[in-house]
Amino acid sequence: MDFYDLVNFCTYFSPIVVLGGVGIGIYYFKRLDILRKIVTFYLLAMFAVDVLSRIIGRIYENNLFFIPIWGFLELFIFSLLYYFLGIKDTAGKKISLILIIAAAFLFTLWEINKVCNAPIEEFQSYSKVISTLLLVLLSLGFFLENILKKKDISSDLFLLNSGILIYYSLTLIIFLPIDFLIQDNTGLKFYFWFANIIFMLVFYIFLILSIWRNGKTQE
Amino acid sequence: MEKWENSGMIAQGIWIILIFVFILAFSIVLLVRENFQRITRVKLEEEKVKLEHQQKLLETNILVQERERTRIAADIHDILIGKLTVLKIKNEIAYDQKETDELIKDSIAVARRISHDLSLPMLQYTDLDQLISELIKPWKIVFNINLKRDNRSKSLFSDNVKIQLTRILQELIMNIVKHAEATTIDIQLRHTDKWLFLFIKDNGKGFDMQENSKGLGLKNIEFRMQYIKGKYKQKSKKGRGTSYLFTLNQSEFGEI
Repeated sequence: MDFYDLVNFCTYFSPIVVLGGVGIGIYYFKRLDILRKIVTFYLLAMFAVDVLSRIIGRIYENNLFFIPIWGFLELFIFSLLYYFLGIKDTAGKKISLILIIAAAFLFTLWEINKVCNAPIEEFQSYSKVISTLLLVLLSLGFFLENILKKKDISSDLFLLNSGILIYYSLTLIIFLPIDFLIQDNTGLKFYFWFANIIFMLVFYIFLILSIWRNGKTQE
Repeated sequence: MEKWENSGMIAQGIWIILIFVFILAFSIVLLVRENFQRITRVKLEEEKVKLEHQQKLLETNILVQERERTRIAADIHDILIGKLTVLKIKNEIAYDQKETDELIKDSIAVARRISHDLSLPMLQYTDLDQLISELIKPWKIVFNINLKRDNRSKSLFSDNVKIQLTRILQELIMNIVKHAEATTIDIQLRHTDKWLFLFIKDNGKGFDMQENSKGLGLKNIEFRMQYIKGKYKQKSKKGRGTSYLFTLNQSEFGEI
């Protein structure tokens, strides 16, 4: 078993963990607050993307167009989370968020079209990076707003936002040189994919724990 | 697309940036956590100060109650019992109908005053204007009191509001008598649909607000204003008298 096999093997943990999270989310769903319900939807969406991208990959041997879709879904679902965390209270912020989502959606469509019509050697995607950057900005904005307003936030919310901030900051750096991660033929790219899988699994487990804690407290 | 001849260098660069970003993001989280903890500490401190202030006001209230009891007891003992004792002795020595009637009349007046001090008379049927007029009436001999009324509303006040405002005015007049050396007192009562303003000003010697801490009387006023959810402001300068403004929102006028 070489390193590639190990990375490939590790990718199978992702849908298993996410499915477990979705199960916990569904079990506690009625008792969850709106934020954890959104997190459950996020896990469900990630599970769907994971499974579909594997199927499409097997059939067409190219599932790269899932990268912009994945990025957009993450941005859309976590934007909803920040919407309920304060954006909904200000009309200006609400309109800005809607415009950003609309622009991200159009960019994603354009990039899917571009990715589908270009050879793998020319693959380059920015939408995942942009959506990740927007999520980092949203989480930083949430912290900053609460600090400036001298508002206290619950430790659960603090942990959730911190998790989002750290995970997406790391993802941003990994996906910035995505062409390198796709086209490198020295095998070094697998170290980054491995790191990405580890970050992702830790983040999913972190989200699942957040759902589980919330469900348990409301019991 | 370039050829990745130096992939090792690129990978190294990415790792360095990755570690740097991780440290940066983690530091931000730690800083934010510290900030939230500080916010919580400050809020707790504020709550503590508020609670201590409330505690002090409560203590003041108890002290003021005790002071009032002592004053009433002194009024009964020194004035009422004094007059009744004189009446008894005079009757024992030589009965004089006219003098007896006079002493009984005086005693009734004292008893009435004490009773009014304890509880404002016919509170339900008396409005705030009348209560204030009644309160300042005896003091008009000592001070030049100008009472201005500006009533623009038909809304009425609860008994509680009337009691507290009358007591506050009573306390302020006592303060003026004891400390201000004033000759004139201006009282303005303005009542609109939304607000009640009570403004009291004397031409006394005033005081430095930064030097003088709140005495029992002022703390008692603060307590009473808090009780009826009103607000008040006090202004004073040495040699330029003292003024007080009390405001009460319509939502706190209360049910009759």
